[in-house]
Amino acid sequence: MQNSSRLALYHYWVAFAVFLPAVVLGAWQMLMRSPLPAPLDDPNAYYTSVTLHGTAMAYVVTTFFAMGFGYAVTATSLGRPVRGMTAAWIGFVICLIGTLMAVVIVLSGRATVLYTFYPPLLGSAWYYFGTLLLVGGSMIWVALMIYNMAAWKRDNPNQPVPLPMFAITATALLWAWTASGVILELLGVILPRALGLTTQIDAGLARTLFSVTLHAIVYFWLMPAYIAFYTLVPQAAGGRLYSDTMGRLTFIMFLVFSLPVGMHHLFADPEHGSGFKFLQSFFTFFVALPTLLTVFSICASLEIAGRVRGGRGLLGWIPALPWKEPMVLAVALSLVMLGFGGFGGLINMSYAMNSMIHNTSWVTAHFHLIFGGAVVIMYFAIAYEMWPRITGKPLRSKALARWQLWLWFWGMMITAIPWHITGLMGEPRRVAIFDYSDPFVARMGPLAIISVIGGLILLVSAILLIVILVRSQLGERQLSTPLRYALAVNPPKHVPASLNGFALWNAILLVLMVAAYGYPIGQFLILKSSVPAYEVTRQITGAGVR
Amino acid sequence: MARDQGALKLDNPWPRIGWASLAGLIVISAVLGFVVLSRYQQNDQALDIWGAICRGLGITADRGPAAEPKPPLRTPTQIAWTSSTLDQIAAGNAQRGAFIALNCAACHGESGVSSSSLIPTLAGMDAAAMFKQLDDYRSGKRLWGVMGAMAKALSVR
Repeated sequence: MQNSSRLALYHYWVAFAVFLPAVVLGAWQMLMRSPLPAPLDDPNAYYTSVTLHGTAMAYVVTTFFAMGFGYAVTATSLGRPVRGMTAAWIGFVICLIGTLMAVVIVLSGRATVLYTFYPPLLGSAWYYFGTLLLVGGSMIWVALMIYNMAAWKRDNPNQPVPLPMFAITATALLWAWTASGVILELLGVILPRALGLTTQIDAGLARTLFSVTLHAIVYFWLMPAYIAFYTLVPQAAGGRLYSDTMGRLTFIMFLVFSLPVGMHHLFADPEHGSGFKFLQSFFTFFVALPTLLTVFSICASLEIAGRVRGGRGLLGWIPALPWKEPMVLAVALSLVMLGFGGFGGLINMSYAMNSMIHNTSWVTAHFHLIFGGAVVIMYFAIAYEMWPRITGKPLRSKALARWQLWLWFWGMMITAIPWHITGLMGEPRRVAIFDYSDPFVARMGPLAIISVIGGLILLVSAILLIVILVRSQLGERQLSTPLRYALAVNPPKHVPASLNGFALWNAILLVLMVAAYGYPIGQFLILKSSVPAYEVTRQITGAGVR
Repeated sequence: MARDQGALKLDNPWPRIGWASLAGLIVISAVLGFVVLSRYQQNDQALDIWGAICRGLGITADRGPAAEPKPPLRTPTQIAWTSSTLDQIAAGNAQRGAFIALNCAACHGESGVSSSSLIPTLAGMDAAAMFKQLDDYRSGKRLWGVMGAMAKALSVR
């Protein structure tokens, strides 16, 4: 058990060590886009920074956090050490090497392709190799999660798999399906060109393959937060989980519906017909189902907890909740941001409405609210919950942790809401320089400045997070209670085989993926859509051209 | 529920619900996407069901909402960086090119380094850049008396 804990802790440390500098970059990027003077006023530096910020946040922080969380959940929910520790450490080292490779190459200015690395932009092959190592290394984690669940089922026939383990295995499967797109893109399209084996690059095929990854990856980020919603929040609030079956259904639906939807990122792409764009847009609506189910389920669980603690009347249970617990506070703040972000997302994914905000900063604001807000604030709460159990050193101050969560919440709201509005005004995303003397752009100036203030608040909150974790790590060891997961109101005794494993759902997902992506990817065998690549392996140096 | 022991056997309730929902979802979304949307998005009277499906698949190009007369294309250049353009440049004859380039040396300097601020240095420019500039002069997209006359005397090769 001790070894599993250390494994989880190392993963968490890498995730949060990368997190802080990435927040610094993010805050500087907001400043760079605003009318205010920014240090190092260079558009090239801006694009390098976007690449680094995106790669760090989207791939490194999330993958390491999810892997660490997975190992911790496996050990604690099954009540036995993780099997395959050697493989797990090898996976950790591979991911770390991949991360370092990618970061060094981006910093040297030879891979400023933004984190979505859309061809015909082409960076150094080493950057892609680094990303491939990071994603490939995490497949060891995927195999270990599946192996640990299967081994437990073999040792405990006819027993329901504990919900946390079931959910983390769903996460691992989701990640394997998701990552297949980017792995195929790297191996099949980008690396052959980057290594000089081909002379051209098929931008349409690359974008389509990346779209397999691009949306479902968000659900991979989201899953640890949802696992905490179902298994940690009711426990922290002093109640029980409303329904175990609802939890299982939620994670199954995320697995099935988050994948065949990525083409809603390609509404403006000419290489696909309107039929498949609509089909995947239509499927996307179903992703709202598990989220709505979760919001209902969590509110019901919190109500149970509030009433157990003596809350009376229609809404009396709300003030009766233990708001001093970081986990309970985080879930409330998270759901608020999920609501705003989800609303924006509905507009992004609607075939017709998308054209109003396509490629504007509305999109960036949307995923910052969902991921940077609703998800990351749960990562913080999970860290505050798990750190003391792993290290045996309790949090020095829960008040400081609450301050950190509130600052993050307000920081993200102040950053993202004006950002949505500038997006509606037509501000493009991923652009370094705006001419604020132009009357059309000048209207966005004050809003951009408000976003900068939000970015600075986020930076303060991120620093506070590291201070809290380091202070706890350096504190005195005390005997702490082991991590316990919430019991359901009716704990499951027998679960249908379909809700205790993933065979059926993987088969259904396979059919759905073939229906949604078979033709759109297959058409590239006939379609000649290769174009010359635009290499960005050499950075043009020089001052800004404002 | 406890009877449900085979996750893939169709006589169990969950697999039945799962597959039936999947089939319904695919049929409904395909009808909406490939028939209804394709047919009515632009309300093209001439589109039959096969035409609509082909449009949904992206096989037939959209004719666009209105058949307005197109204004002549006003672009800053006639060069598009397609693969055939690049192949053509790569297939150029360097010896012939060097011979023709003797004409340039008079103004742009013998080694391509110009001494005048009006006349750009050519040394270090690659073939694609030269090709585009000369083509722009030739087609009148870029105007400069001397170079226009020089370029018009040249062929695409």
